[in-house]
Amino acid sequence: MMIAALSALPGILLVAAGTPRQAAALSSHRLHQARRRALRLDGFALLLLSLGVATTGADRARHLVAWIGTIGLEAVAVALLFTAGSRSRRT
Amino acid sequence: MKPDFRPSMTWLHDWSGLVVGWLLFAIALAGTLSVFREEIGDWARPEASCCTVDSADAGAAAVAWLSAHAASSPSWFIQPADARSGTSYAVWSDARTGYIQKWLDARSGSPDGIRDTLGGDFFYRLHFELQLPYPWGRILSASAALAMLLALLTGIVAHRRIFVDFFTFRPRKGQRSWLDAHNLLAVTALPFHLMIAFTGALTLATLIMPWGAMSAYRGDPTALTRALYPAAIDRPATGRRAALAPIRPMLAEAERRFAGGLYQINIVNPGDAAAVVTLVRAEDARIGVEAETLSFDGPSGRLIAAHDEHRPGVAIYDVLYGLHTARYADTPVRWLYFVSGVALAAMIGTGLLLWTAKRRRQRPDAAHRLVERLNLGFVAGTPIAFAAFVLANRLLPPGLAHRVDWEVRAVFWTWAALLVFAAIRRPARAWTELLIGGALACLAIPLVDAATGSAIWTMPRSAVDLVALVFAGVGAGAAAFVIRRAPLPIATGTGRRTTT
Repeated sequence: MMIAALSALPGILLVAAGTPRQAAALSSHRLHQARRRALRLDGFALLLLSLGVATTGADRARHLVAWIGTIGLEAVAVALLFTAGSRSRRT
Repeated sequence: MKPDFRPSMTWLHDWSGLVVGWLLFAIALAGTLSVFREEIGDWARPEASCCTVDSADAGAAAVAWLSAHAASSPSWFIQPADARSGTSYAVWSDARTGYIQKWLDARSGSPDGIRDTLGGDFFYRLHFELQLPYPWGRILSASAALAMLLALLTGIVAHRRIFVDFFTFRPRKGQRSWLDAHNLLAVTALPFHLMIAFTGALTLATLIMPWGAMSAYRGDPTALTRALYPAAIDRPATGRRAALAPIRPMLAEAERRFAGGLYQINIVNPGDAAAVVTLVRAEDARIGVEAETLSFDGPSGRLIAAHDEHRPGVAIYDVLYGLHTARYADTPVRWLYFVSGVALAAMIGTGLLLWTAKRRRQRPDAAHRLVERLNLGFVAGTPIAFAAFVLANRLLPPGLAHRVDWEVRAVFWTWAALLVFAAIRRPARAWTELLIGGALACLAIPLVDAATGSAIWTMPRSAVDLVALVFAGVGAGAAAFVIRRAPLPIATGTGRRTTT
């Protein structure tokens, strides 16, 4: 489960970086739509891989529930990270 | 799609969320705390602190004590102590006083010396019974769960840029910040919110939608009960006295058959020739609980029935029920439930505040003022009322008569006082004062725990003190936020628009 949680985090970061507002917060240049889409797809691929790792082996149902809960927490953390990032860029 | 579809959904989202929002906030917070019901119960009964507990030993001790002290009761229901709970829980009926519930020492089986408290069960019961008589509290909770499901679904439709705004939080932007916080908390834990609302309504579905089952069983509730619980053995008392056979061999047989341990001991007609002992298997790591039961003839100890539930319909219900109660969960998954529950309560709280924030530009009318005061009383008041229960557990004398009732009264008196305070105090000041009050109440929990000499600094007991400290920090942070004149959705009672 730990590996799944750790591999989900870069996945969520990539998905977030692929959204227009967060992409603008990351880079001074406007990212092309195709690049943002690529970032999102990479992120989703990592999340899928993470889900596969989480649900491999015994206790699948419990790990699935834990994985859903964990990525929720990670998404909040990523949102706050981008908030802090965009604030520091502005200052 | 009709052009006015989304605004209609937004309207429905606003109002379905508002009407039951205060009730849902309390239900969500109580449900979140009841994830750790057993651990809070252990913290609340420091006298019962014990060693490693064996469920069979605890069950045998409880049966022995009940045989001596509740022999005339028509039935006993016992949940023996286990790895999570240091006390056994027993319910029996008494002709004079009605139902009696006690928490029994795991080794002696006696309630003597253990303070009379509901512990974590207060939050668990409040979560779906709301301290109202059966079935009104349950009906109200189930209706609130349905309204929450409606608010969630309409919220998804109303939230046009759900993916683009997924990771967006823009602080210090007034109404925009509240909307961002509401959306972020809603979307990141959306699977949890949908699951908890749906399964919450489903667990009480027979109360709010009984007609399907009643129609299938031709209006006969006994036939429905028999179909739902085929393992229940209905043997009327004969009136002939007969001693109960030793319980140990029955428990040993159950331990041999049950992989997950023992959950419950039910004894019907104890001391009668028609006594039946039913042992129920504990829930294990599987989400769907397929309850396995063994029934023994009381006087002889002979196994008379074994039932292992495998019917698909019941299995589906059990999976959904198991998902809601999280009894299958190990400690990390319980913490995820807890954090998601806090996110749910925060989502409801920010939604309620957003309702007033959206209407700040308008001249505040009576409805706006009422919502504002109720927001204060419930969003800021509920954590203080719950903290009052925990503090009452430590501060009330352990030998006080009707101690359980006094603890519960402490909650509702505090709640009522805070609602009155919110009604008469200027909201801008009241927010600061109640947030500081909440922080102090939470801070007082570990201090009072240590001062009364009840503190046991081992996990998971000290987790109650640590979580109280975290909540104190959050309350203090929120108070500091308000004091720094962050734009909370507050208007004065004079009709003037204010920025605080």
